[in-house]
Formats: sequence, C-alpha cells, structure tokens
Amino acid sequence: MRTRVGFLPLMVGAFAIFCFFALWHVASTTTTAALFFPTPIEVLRYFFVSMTQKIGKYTLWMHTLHSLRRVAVGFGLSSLTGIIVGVAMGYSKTINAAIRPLFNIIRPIPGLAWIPMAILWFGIGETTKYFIIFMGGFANVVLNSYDGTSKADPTLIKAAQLLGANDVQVFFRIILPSATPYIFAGLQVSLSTSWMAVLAAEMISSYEGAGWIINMGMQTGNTLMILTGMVAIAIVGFLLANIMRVVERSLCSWTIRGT
Amino acid sequence: MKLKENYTLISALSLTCFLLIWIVITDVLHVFPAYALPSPILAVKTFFLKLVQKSPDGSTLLVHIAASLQVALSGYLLGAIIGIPLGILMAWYKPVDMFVKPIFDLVRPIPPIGWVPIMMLTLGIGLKAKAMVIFVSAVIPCIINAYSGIKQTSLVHINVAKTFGASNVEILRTVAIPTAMPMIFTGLRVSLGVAWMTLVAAELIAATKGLGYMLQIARTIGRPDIIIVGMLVIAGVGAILTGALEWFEKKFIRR
Amino acid sequence: MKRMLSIVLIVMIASMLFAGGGAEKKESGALPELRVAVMPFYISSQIGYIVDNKLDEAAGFKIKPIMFPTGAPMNEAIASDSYDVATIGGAFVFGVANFDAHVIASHINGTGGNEVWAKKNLAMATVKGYNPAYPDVLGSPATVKGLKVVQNTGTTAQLAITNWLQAIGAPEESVSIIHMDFAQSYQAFKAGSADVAALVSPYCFQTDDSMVKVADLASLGVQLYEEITVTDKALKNDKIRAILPAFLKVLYAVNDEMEADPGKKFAMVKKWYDDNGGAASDSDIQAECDLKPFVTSADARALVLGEYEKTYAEFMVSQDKLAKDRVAKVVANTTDEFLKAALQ
Repeated sequence: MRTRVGFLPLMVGAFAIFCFFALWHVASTTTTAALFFPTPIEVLRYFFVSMTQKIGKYTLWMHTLHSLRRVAVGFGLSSLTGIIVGVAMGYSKTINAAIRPLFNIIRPIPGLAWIPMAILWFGIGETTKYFIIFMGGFANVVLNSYDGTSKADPTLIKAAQLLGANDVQVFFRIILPSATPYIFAGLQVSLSTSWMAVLAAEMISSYEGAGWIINMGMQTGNTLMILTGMVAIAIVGFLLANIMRVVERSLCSWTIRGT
Repeated sequence: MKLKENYTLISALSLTCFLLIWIVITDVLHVFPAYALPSPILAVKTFFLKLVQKSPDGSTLLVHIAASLQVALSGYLLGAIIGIPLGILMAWYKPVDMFVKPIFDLVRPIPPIGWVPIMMLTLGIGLKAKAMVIFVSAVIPCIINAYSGIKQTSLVHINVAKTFGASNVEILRTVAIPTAMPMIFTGLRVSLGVAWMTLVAAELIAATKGLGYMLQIARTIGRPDIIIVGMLVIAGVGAILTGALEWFEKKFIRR
Repeated sequence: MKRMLSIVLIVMIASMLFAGGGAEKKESGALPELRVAVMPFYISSQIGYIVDNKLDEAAGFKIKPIMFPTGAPMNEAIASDSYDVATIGGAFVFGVANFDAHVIASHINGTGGNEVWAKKNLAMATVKGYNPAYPDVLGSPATVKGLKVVQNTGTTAQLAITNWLQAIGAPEESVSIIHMDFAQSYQAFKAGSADVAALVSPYCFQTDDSMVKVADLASLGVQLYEEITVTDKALKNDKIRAILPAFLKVLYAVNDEMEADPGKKFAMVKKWYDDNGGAASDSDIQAECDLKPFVTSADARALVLGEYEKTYAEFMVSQDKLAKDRVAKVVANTTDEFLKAALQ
C-alpha cells in the first residue's frame, strides 16, 4: 500500500519531527521543568557519545544488543508456543474448551504484575526476564492464531475432503495457509509488546540492556540517561515493527491487510 | 445443543483440574513452600479478608479497586476523546496525516513505564501524572482503529455522495464515520484493556491506594497471597470492563 | 490426529517450563560455593572486597555474588532458592517472618543515612525542639498539619517518618503520607511535589539549600542495623552450615581492617559502586562511610543479637505490616550460634 514514499510527505514528516524537538527545546529551557529536563540537543549529544563511551559496563550499542537478545529468546518462545496453542485451539473445539478458561484468566494480567511471581518461581536470572517478555507477547499470538485457524473457509475444507484429502493434508494445505496472515498480524503486535516488556524485565535486576539504562536513570535521578534509553527503545521498536511489516508482506503476498 | 453442553463441561473440567492440581501441589503435597506458591484456598481466604480488612496496606480491596478505576478511566477517557478525532482527522486530511504520523510512529514504541519518570517530573505525583501514563498507552489503539476504520470507506460510497453534491465535511460525517464505527468501537475496547493493563505501571508513580499500590506493598512486606489476589483481581476487573463495553456495543450499536 | 496434537502440545509446554526452571546451578571447582545476595550499594561493599582479594578462597569457600536491586526481590528469590546468604537492610524482617530466613549477624550500623527532610520555606522548619525530649527535631503538630509526606512504605523510611511524627506528637492522619520508591521520593521532593520526604543514603547527601534536615534516626533515638541472613534451606544444608562461621570470620576481619583505615574503606566502597554501575560521587561515598560504621568484631561481641530485630519487628506489627504472631518467629529465627563460632 505504501510502497512509494513521495517527496512531500518526507518533507512534512521531517518538519513535524523538527517541530516536536523545537517544542521540547523551548519547554526544557523556559519552564520549571528545566530543573530536571535536559534539552533535546543534550540528549542527542549524550545519545551519540554513549555509542562509543560506556554507560555502566557497556556502550549503548551493547546495551541494545543485550536487550535484543532477551527479546529474541522471549519472543521466539512466545511465538512458538503461542502459535501452537492458538492453532490447536482453533483446530479443535475440545482443546479450545479445555484451554480457553485458563487462558482467559491469564491474559488480562499485566506484565509488571507478573514480576513478583516470576521472581518467586525463577529467581532473578535470565529465565525470569525471558518469562516476562514471553508473557508480554503470548496472548496476542494465541488470539490471532486462533482467529485465523477457526476462520478457515469450511467450503474449502469440505471440498478438499470430498476430493479425498486426509486430515493432515487439510490441515497443512488449507487451514494453516489461511491462518498465516492472521498469525503474522499477531506476531507483529507481539513483537512490539515484547520489546516494550523488556523494560519491565530489566527492572528485575541486570547489569545491561536499554531498559537498564532507564532504570538506572530512574534510580539515580539522571534524566539524561532516562531519555537516552527511551530514544534507543523508540528507535529499535520502530525498526522492529517495520522489519516485521516487510517480512509479512513478502511471506503473505496473497493477502492485503490494511493497517 | 448437546454438543455445546459438552464443551462447557470440558471447560469446567479443565478449570477444576487446574485448581485441583494447584491444591494438591500446595496444600496436600507441599511441593513448594507456602511462600513460593500460595494455595488457592489461602488466596480465596485472603481475598475475602481483604474485602473487609484494611491490613496491611491501609485500605480494603473495594477502595483499592475504586481508586484504580478512577486513574484508569480518566486516562482512558482522555485517550478516547483525543485519539478518535485525531485518528479520523489523520485518515481524512492528508496534511494532518503527514504531520502527525512521524511523531506518532516515534512515540508509539515507548513502553508506558518509560513514561513514568517523565510524567512524574513534569506533572507531579497526583492523579494527573498517573492518568497521563495511562493516556499514552490508551490513545494508541484509538488512533489506529479510527484511522483504519475511515480508510476502509469504499470509494464508491464516497463518489455517490459526491455526485449528490455533498461537501467534504458532509461525506466525512455521513459516509466515512458511520462506516468506521465498528472499527472505532473495537479500538475503544482494545484501548480499555490496554488502559487497565497499564495501571500497575501508572501506580508506580506514587500512591496511597489502588491495586498497583496493593501489589507493591505486598511485595515489600513479602505477602505472595496478596500478590496472587491482586493479580487475579486486576485480571477479573479487566475482564468485567471489556465485557461491559462489549455488552454496551451490542445493545446500542446494532450493525 | 487431534489427540496426537494435544499430547504434543502438552509435552512442549511442560518441557519448556522445566527447561526454564531447572537451569543455573553448578558447583564451581573443589571449594564449596556460597551464594551471597548483594545490592549495588554500601551494604554489600565488603563482599566485593572479599571476592576481589580471594579472601573467601583462603578461608576454604567460594563466594558467588548474586545481584539484587533492593531487599524485596531478595526475599522473593528465597522461594526459588536463588542464594544462601543475604546482605540485607530493613527488608530482613519480612524475609525472616514470611520467607523463613534466619538472622545470623549484624554487619553495619545503619542508623545514619536515614533522614527526614523538609522544604526550608515551610513554617515547620522554624520550630525546633517542640518536644524537649528531642531537642534537634524540627516541626510541631500545628506546623506539619496537612503537609504532603513521601516515604517508601514498609521500609526504614517509614520507621523514620513514624518516629518523627510521634516525637513531635503529630497524629499520622494530620499529614498526607504518600508511598513512593526511594529514588522517586527524592525526585518528587526535589521537584517540589512533596513537602517532606524520608531520604535514605545516598539521596540524603544530595540535598540542596532549599531543603532542611528535620530529623534522623539518631536524633529520634532509634537504632538500625544492616543484617546478614541465611535462608532456611541453606541452614539445613550441612555443607553451607559448615561454611557460615568462616564466612562471618572473614567478613568481620574485613570490617576490622576497614574501620582501622578510613582511606582504605573509602577506596573499597568506591570500587564497589564503580564496578556495579552506581553513580555515587566521592563526597557521597565519604559521607556514607562516616555515617554508617561497619560493625567490628569488638562491637559484635558487645551487641546482643535479637534486640534490634525484635524492636523492628514490633514496629512493623504496630504499622500493620506484619501479623502479631510474627514477632516471636523473628526472635526465634535469630541465632548468634555462627557469630559466636566466628568470633572465638
């Protein structure tokens, strides 16, 4: 849909971002917030400086990579289990009936609220962090996989069965392909929520990560660190969402989904 | 009909199994010490005690729920009031889209807890700061859904309206917005869920009551039974809220 | 087919759960391992020194530090058996009462560095010694009425605020007490969102001219110690039990050495902060070293273990944070057995 980026939108976009920073600059120099709030120039300078100089134990690059590694593991696990659970629920009404009530209890619990329980069960190592990220993405994948699978066209299934396809063939040739766009929609949302959960996960205890920068800034009252961490998280989150969109477009070229 | 009852039975059975296993590994076999996983019986007991007892965090459960609802709903309403018109404007007027979209894309990936220190420093420690943390997460689904809802308007409908001499604003009001209504409502529902989920983060700012506060105190003083109750109550209230909105939607917005 | 699928599904979920739970445990080398829960603050600086200089290996065991941000997750992590011994502040009381931990020693006198501060322009800042029993304490019931007070509820910050209000005879309901984390309390106070704040170190060293010290634990006549606790599971493990006296012996040797040489102490604490990404300034570190003396072995012999623990538990009971019957448990779970063996 948006394959060609025109010149005008690009200019207006740049102007908008410029306005945003200008407003921030004015606010942080003239109002009382100046006491704590650094100007965008200071933040950008610190942002670029910390790409080569260490904050704590690592440079900004390494912090971001550590966070990405955690998200990769947590998101990988939640995608895998989420797709299996969701597809199973969509495929078999029995499994749906068995899992649905438990899933409905777990789903609305916010990620932050899992932290104490996660520490009780897994301690404070990486497992706990993976768990928090897992919980951040799991529900969306399940819901979308379920939707996609259960909405597979019954006429197509019937037709295939009439032509002698067995259950396995029906599943892999009809149900799974028709669910794929939904699954990808779920994965896309889940990736961004997983990335958001990394901040909560790194609150638990860590030496590294983009979330660590924000938490350390919060603990020491260093707003520059907080904002730098936020900029890093925003940029990576933005990139991840766009990468996922490209992957989706190339893998599910047969459906066009409006977003 | 028979089949449907069967599934309900399976659901009930699976829930009972879950609870039974939970009871067996805690109260019967003591696989974990009580402080690692409180038994469901203890959780239920704590739940009823918290309904009437102020100990140990100074308020009863209902007072906590009311305080949290106030924070979450004010943030949510603000998000809906600002988000939906903004989404509509972005979808209908190209310049608005070009201007707002980049800022929106930039701000969107920031997690709600990331906003906590910023809101606290700029807005203080009252309701305003907490509601704003909820706002930044609640506004996103409102904008996205209003935007894609309007974008769904079929070109044919628009052209028909144009042929009949409707102005741009009239088309928006009589054709595009009605088409977008179902999507907008989905957005409102998603947003309500998100707003409620952000509550725990918002109450990190400062609190004297609220479910997030209850959780924090329970953590500080090491009471996993209250933590479990808090988690389940947050989940339950969240489910009730979205359920209520769904009911409202079905009742009043018949498609 | 469907049955197969569901079985595969269940096996996958189960294996994932077990894979998560079972990881992270290994004996290192020949020396028995002692997992010590630490925080990136003053309270655990000795542990860093012991590990850096291999004092633990010389005494026949190996310390594995496990980092925690605060005391609350330390208590929670007892449930998952994440460590054996903890260096912990006021949160010890909940670890002992609710998570079966045991107090075996006090290693720092933490009375200093727990302070109540107020904005200087308030009326209460001009009233000094309202209650003659506390001549240095600021404020009176009339001048504090309606003020916004921030504290980290359930911690030593609450101890300071409660004792301050009691000292000046102001009922707790006359002020509005708001719960915030330590760092957030300081920021809200500095930003002017709160009138009074309970500040712990290092925040109480980072105050400016617009603020004034209202009271500290010493001027309120309250004592506070940082504690060494051991989990119940570790205590029942004979291997760990055997190490504990040696561990305490090494710890108190470091305490003696550092209290005798303030320069060395400063260097040690500074290195601990630096190693763990804490951003404390030199003057903050010096102030902390001066305000919170380590408990030397001579002090430890004079100290009656269990007295402070009991009063602190009783305070938490009075604040409705602990059930009444837990005081007895805190007393019962305080043992000087290992301390005595270490100081022989």
